[in-house]
Amino acid sequence: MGLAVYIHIPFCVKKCNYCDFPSYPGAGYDVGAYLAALGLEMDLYRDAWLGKEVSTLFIGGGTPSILTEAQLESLFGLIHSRFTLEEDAEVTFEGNPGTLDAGKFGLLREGGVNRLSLGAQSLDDEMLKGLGRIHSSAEALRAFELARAAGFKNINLDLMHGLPGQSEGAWQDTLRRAVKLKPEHLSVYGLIIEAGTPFGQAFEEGYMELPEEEVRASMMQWGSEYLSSNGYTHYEISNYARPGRECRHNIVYWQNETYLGFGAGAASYSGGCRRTNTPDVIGYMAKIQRGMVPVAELEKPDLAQQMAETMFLGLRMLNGVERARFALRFGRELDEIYGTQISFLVGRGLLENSSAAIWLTNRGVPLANEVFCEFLP
Amino acid sequence: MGEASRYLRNFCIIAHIDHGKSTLADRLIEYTGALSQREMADQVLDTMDLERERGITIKLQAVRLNYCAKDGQVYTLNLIDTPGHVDFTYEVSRSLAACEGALLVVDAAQGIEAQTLANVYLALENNLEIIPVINKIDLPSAEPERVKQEIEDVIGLDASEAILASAKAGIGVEEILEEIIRKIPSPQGNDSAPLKALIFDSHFDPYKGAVSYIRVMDGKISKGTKMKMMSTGRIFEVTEVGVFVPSMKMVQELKAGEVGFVAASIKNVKDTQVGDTITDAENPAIYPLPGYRKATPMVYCGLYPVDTADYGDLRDALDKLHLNDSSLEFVPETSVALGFGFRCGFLGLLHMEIIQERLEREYNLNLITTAPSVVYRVNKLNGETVLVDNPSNLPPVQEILSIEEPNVKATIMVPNDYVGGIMELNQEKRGTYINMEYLSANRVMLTYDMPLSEIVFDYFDQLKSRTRGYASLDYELAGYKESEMVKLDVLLNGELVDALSFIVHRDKAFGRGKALTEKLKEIIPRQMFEVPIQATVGTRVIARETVKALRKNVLDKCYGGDISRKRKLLEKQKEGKKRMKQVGNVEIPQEAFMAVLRIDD
Repeated sequence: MGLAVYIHIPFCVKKCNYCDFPSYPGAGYDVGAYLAALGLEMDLYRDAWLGKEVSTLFIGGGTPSILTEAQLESLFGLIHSRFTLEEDAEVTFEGNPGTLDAGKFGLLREGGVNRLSLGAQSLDDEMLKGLGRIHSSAEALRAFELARAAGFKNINLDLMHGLPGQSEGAWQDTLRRAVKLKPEHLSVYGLIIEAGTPFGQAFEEGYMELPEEEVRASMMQWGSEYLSSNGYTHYEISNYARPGRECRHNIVYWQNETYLGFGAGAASYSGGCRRTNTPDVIGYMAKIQRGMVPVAELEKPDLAQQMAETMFLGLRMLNGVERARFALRFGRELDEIYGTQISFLVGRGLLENSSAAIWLTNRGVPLANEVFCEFLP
Repeated sequence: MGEASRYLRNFCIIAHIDHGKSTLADRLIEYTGALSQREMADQVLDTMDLERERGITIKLQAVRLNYCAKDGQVYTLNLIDTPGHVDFTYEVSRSLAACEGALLVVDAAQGIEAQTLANVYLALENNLEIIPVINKIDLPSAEPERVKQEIEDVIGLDASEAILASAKAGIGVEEILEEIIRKIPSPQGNDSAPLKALIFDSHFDPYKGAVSYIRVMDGKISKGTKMKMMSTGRIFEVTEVGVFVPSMKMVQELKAGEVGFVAASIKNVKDTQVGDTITDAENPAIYPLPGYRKATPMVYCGLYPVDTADYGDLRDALDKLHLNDSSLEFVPETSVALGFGFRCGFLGLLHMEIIQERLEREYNLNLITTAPSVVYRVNKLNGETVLVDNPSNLPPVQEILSIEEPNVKATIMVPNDYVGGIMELNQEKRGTYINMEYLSANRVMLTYDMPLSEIVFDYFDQLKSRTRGYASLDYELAGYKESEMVKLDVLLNGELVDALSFIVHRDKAFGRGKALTEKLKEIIPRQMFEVPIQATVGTRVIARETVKALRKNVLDKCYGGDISRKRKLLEKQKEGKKRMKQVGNVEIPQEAFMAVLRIDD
C-alpha cells in the first residue's frame, strides 16, 4: 500500500457554533504564505515520501474550499510537484456548500480530486442557522448537483443529529432527503458539545435544549437501520458507503497504520511516532520559516498502548479486528492479551466473537466507549 | 535528682484549633535557633500534607529546644505539640503525662472554646503548671482583658500574669520562654533508680523499626540497654536513643526528666504499646507507671478494598497506622455485598475521615467506607443483651425487646446571636436541653443531652454553618437510653446491599430513606439496564427511585489528529470505573457508600 497523506487548510469564512477544530477566519491571514509554508513542511519530511507513491490524499479543514481558484491552483501545484499519486489513488477534498461554484469544481477535477466531501450537516434551514453554518439547505443541494455535473462520481455528505431543538421527525426527514440524492458515502455524527465553543458555553450556562439521551440514541439507531436498508453498508460507527466506496484514507486511521499530515494542527503517525503540529497558524508558519519542525506534541506509544489503540480504532470498523491481522502485527495472539476482556464483553452482549475476528454488536455500537475502555492497559 | 535536670523543662501547648498553637510552636523553634529562618517551612511540626491542607495537627511531635535564658544559663526545653480537635482527647492526655507544664493558648478575640476547657481540666487533673498565653493580640478585634477575665471566671485560673502575644508577629516569644523557665517546675526523677520510661507515642521507620517516643521518669537508657516492655515482658536491645531537633538526632543516653526516642529494631508494631512502661531487663522497676485514660472509639464503620486482592495491603496499612494512632481499632469482618474488610473504630468522624484519606493517599488504597455507625445495645426477648456496631448484625425484629442508643453530654459554645438557631438544630437532632450559661455578655455555653448517632450524622458541619464557624463543640459519653430505632435497608436492582444499611430513629426513617434514594440516584451511574433503588424498613418499601439505562456512550468521530485526545478521554472513563465496586450486576462508585452521611435532613 502506498502512502496516506493529509493536508490541513485551517481557514473558514466564520467558525460554526459547535466547532473546536483548528480553524480561523480566512480574512485575517496570509493564505499564500500558509500554502508556501505547507510546501516547505513537505520538504522537511522529504525522506518520508520521496520515491514512494501516494495511495490516499485527503485535503481537509477548516474549509479547504475557501481557497480562491488561484490559491487552489497553487495548492495543487505544490502537491503534484512533490507527490506521485498511484493510478487509482483516492483524492478527497472537503467542501462547504457556501464556498463552491462550478468554476472551483472544475479546478478540483483538474487537480486530480476524485472524491468530494460536502459538509451539509443538516438539510433544515432552521437547524443550519442554529449551527451557525454559512449556507442554506438549497445551497447544499445545488452544490451537490454541480458536483455531479462536474463529474464527481464519489461524493460524501456530512450530516449531524442530536442537534438542539431537533425532533426525531426532522432528523428522519433530513436523512431521507439526503439519501434521495444518492451520495456514495454518508458520515453521520451525533453532536458533541465541546468546551470553549459557543455551544459549550450555552450548555454550561444551562440554556441549551438538547434532545434527551434516549432520543439521541434512537436517532443514531434509526439512521443506521434506514441507511442499511437503502443500499449503504454501515462500515464504521459513523460512516456509511455503497459497497466499494468506503473512504480508504480514513480506514488507514482506523487500522492504526502510518500516515503523514501537513499543516497547522495536522497529525502524522510514522516510525512508531505520533506527531501533532501546532494548531496555531502563525506559530506554524513561524517555525517552518525558521526551518524547524512545527510539532507541538510528540508521542511514542509503547507496545501496550499500540495494542490498545489498534483495538479501539479497529473496533470502530464494524467488521472488527481480525485475529490473523493482530497476530501478524504484534506477534502475539489476540486472545492471549485480551481473552478475559473479550469474554466479559461478549457476555454483556456488546461484542461478537468468531474464530476469525471480534466486532461490535448492534447493541455495542452506541455503547462503544464501554467496550473500548476494556482494551486500555 | 541529677544536676542536669535543673535546666530542663518539659511542656506542651494546649489550644483550640486555629488559636495559633502551631504558629507559636514555629516561633519558639525559630527563636531558639533550632532551625534557621531558611529551614522553616510554615508550621514545621505539621509534617503531613494532609494536616497542612486542613490546618490541623494530627500527629504528636516532640522537639528539643536549647534556650539561652536571661540568667545566662542554657536551658533544654522539650516542646510537645498536640492536636486540638474534639476527637483527639486521648492523644492530648498522653502528651500531658510527659510534661510538667502547659502553655494555654487562647485567641484574644475568640476567647475560651469548649475544646480548650476540656483540655485544661485534663491538664489540671495531671497536676501540670499552666501558663496562660493570650494570642493574636495584634488583631483589631483582640480583647485581652476580657479574655483574661474569662480565664479567671470560667477556669478559675489566675490570669494576672498571662502573657500577651502574637505568634504571627513574633510578639511575646521571649517572655513565654522566660515564663516557662520561671514557672514550670523542672522534672523530678532519679537517674540512679531503675529505669522507668513512658511511651507516649511512636512511629514506624522502615530502617529503624518501631520508634517509641519516651519520657524518662527514672533511670537512664542508652544504646545497648536491654529494654523490657512491662506490659508484655518482651525484651529488646536498644540500637539508638536520640532527641528531636526537630529532625531525629542520636544522643549517648536519655536520663530522668528527658524526652526523646528509642529504637530497638522492633519489627512488629504490636510490640510497642503506647502507654506502656519501658524498664531495664537487667535492673527492672517493680511497678509500671500509672496508665492512661483509655480512649473509647465512638464511631464505627466498615472499610473494604474496592479490589478484593488488596485485602492484605489494607490490613498491613491499618497495622502501620495503628502504630502511630493507638486509638484506631479494627477487626476483620465480612459483607455479602463487599466481601472481606474491617470494622474500624474511631474517636469521631474527623478521625475516621483522616484515617480514610491517609489510607488512600499514603498507602495508595482504593477504599469503600460504609456509613458510620455507633454501638447500640440490643436487649433480646430471650434475656440476652448484645452490642451491635454493624447494622447488618442487628438481630431480627421479632427477637428484639428494646434497643438502647448511646447518648452524649454535648457542650456547645456559641455567640449570643446564634443561640436560637442552635437550640433549633439540637431539637431536630433529638437533643434534650440541660443548661444554658452566659460566659460573657456575648458568649453562651449550652449543655444538651444528645444521641451520639445524631452527632455522628452531619452535626458538626451543621453547627459550623449555622453559626458561621463561631460555634465549638465538645462531647463525652453519657450512657445509654432506650429509643425507637429501626434498621433501614437499601436494595439495588432488587438485591439487598448490606453495606448500605443503617440504623435510624423511627421518626426519621422516611425522611432519610427518601433523601438517600434520591442521593443514590444521582451518584450511581447509568448501567446497561435500568436500576431500581429501594429503601426498606423490614418488608415495607418506604422510598424508591430509578436509574435509567445507559443508551449512548460513544465517540462519534475519530480521525488522525483525534487519536491522542480520544485515548485520554477513554483513559479518564476507565479511571472513573476503577472507583466502582461491582455489587451484583450494578457498578457502584465508592462515594455511594458514604452517601448516607451527606444528605441534608
